[in-house]
Amino acid sequence: MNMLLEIKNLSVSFSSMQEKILALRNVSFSIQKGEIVGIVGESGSGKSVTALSILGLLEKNATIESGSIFYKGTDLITLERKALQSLRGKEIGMVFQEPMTALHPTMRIGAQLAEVIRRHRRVSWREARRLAVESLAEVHIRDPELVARKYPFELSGGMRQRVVIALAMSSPPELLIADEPTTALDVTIQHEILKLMQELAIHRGTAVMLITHDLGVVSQVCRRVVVMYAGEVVETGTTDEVLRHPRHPYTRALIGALPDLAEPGQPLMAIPGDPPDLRRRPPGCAFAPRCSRALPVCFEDHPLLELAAGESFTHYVSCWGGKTG
Amino acid sequence: MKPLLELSEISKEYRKGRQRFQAVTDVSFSIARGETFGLIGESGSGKSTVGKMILGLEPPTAGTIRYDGKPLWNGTRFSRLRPGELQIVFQDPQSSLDPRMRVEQIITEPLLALPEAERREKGSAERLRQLIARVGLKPEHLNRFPHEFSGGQRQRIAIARALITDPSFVVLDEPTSALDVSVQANVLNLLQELKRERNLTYLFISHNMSVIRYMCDRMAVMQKGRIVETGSAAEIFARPTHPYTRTLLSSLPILSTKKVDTHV
Repeated sequence: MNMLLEIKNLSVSFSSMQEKILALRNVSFSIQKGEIVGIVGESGSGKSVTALSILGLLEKNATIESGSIFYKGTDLITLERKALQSLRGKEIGMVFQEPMTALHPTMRIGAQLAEVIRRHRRVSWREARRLAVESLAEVHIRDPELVARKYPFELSGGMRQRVVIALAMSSPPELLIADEPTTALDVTIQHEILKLMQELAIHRGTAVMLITHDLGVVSQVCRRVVVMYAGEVVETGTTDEVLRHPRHPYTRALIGALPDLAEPGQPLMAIPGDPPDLRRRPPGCAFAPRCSRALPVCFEDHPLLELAAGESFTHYVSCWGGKTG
Repeated sequence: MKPLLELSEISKEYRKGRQRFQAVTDVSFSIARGETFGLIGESGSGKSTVGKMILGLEPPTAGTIRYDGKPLWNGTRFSRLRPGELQIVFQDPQSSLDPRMRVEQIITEPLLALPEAERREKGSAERLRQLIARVGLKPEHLNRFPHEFSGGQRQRIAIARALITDPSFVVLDEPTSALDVSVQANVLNLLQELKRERNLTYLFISHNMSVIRYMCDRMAVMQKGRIVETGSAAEIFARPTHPYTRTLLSSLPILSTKKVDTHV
């Protein structure tokens, strides 16, 4: 088995004003080598907290309550800070939504890249500089020599995100965590950045954990999808299973809410109510109060993430009603 | 049929010292009463500048804009027909609502532009109560500040603010681009209902093609300040003729072409 990352029953809480907020609850999923997995959910669903947990970048007021994050068999939670730091950036790269925040504003692009390269490889400045230009070419920047001499503010948003990807890929990593990497970009550029990530996955065997709110992006590049709601995994499976045969009422509602598939003039499927207050989680399913199919049991007992009925061994759903579909 | 809004060869050039920047070039289109017209383009295409010129926020440097047959601009002077006739809803309700004002003040502020008698009539407590109920807010919300609301609720506040003067024409500039998908669905549904109930005409500015396809009757595609294609939304999505429109459509994620089983 080529398991690269395996998250098991991860629960994370935040304390704020003497209150405890359970931001992640028993989150489990895995990513194999060279695989692009989409983590989908709306704001507050816990997708970014999951990423920060893996990277060891959670804020001070966060506590990992339970669970483990195995990376190549080592639990990252128990790993020392130093060891995690060297893993981060070298084997695990990251790309965030706003490229400007990841770049040093007063340093030329080439120098930034060279610095990162020298951090992970024992090469001369001259060689690092050459590798920097090379890595810009690899993310399809047309004039890499010229761009290497520029400052971040001189580049467009799409170019900057390419530079950030080049930075993240320079080590090169085995796992790339990309949190809404294309959300701030125009569609035509989004398309190119996604193609680029796909290329990296295929040619370099980099696994990508792609965090997005956009199901269209998922359908374009992901092999598997993890759907999150209120800090829990509610459904996971291959992209085809989850997007074409969704079993969880939340996944169905999310797809139904997209204008992509709606007839003009017909109302979009809306989800009544609001996501639950994470300070006061309902004892049963977190989606039950908004679910049109909720049964009495849904309000009392929490469902487990279990295999959905059918032929598949990859499609899991956490729903009392959804297992039988 | 006589169009409600008609743009003829509108251009906008920004100048700063010797620098010149042509933001909009020879843009022409017309919108019929009751229509939703979509303006789509990427960042920097000039679509929001067109919206500003219609609202009177920026004078065009060439061309004419007619509203209900009468020119909106006399040189750099904006001639409004009736205060509150044209309104706008912006993309980000976080930055478009004054954080120090209570919701009631925010919603009723546009009334200040109206004549005394009309202001009193439109600002009546009963009318305000009905309007906020219609957009999905509660009376107790009126006394709160914008930061106490979610993104979707803030956009409902912005919609109520735009409708308080009973406009005929509303510019929607990326009204749902900052919202989650399920919240976007609620806001788009609300906008469709309000349009029917109040016989509104919309100019819907967006970079999101799925939203444009779903919301608009006709549309124009903008690239680098120019319109490259105009037509019915259904026709353009089925048979795009301009290469740029084709590029935009081919970049659209493919979810829309698949059949999905979503019945609940």
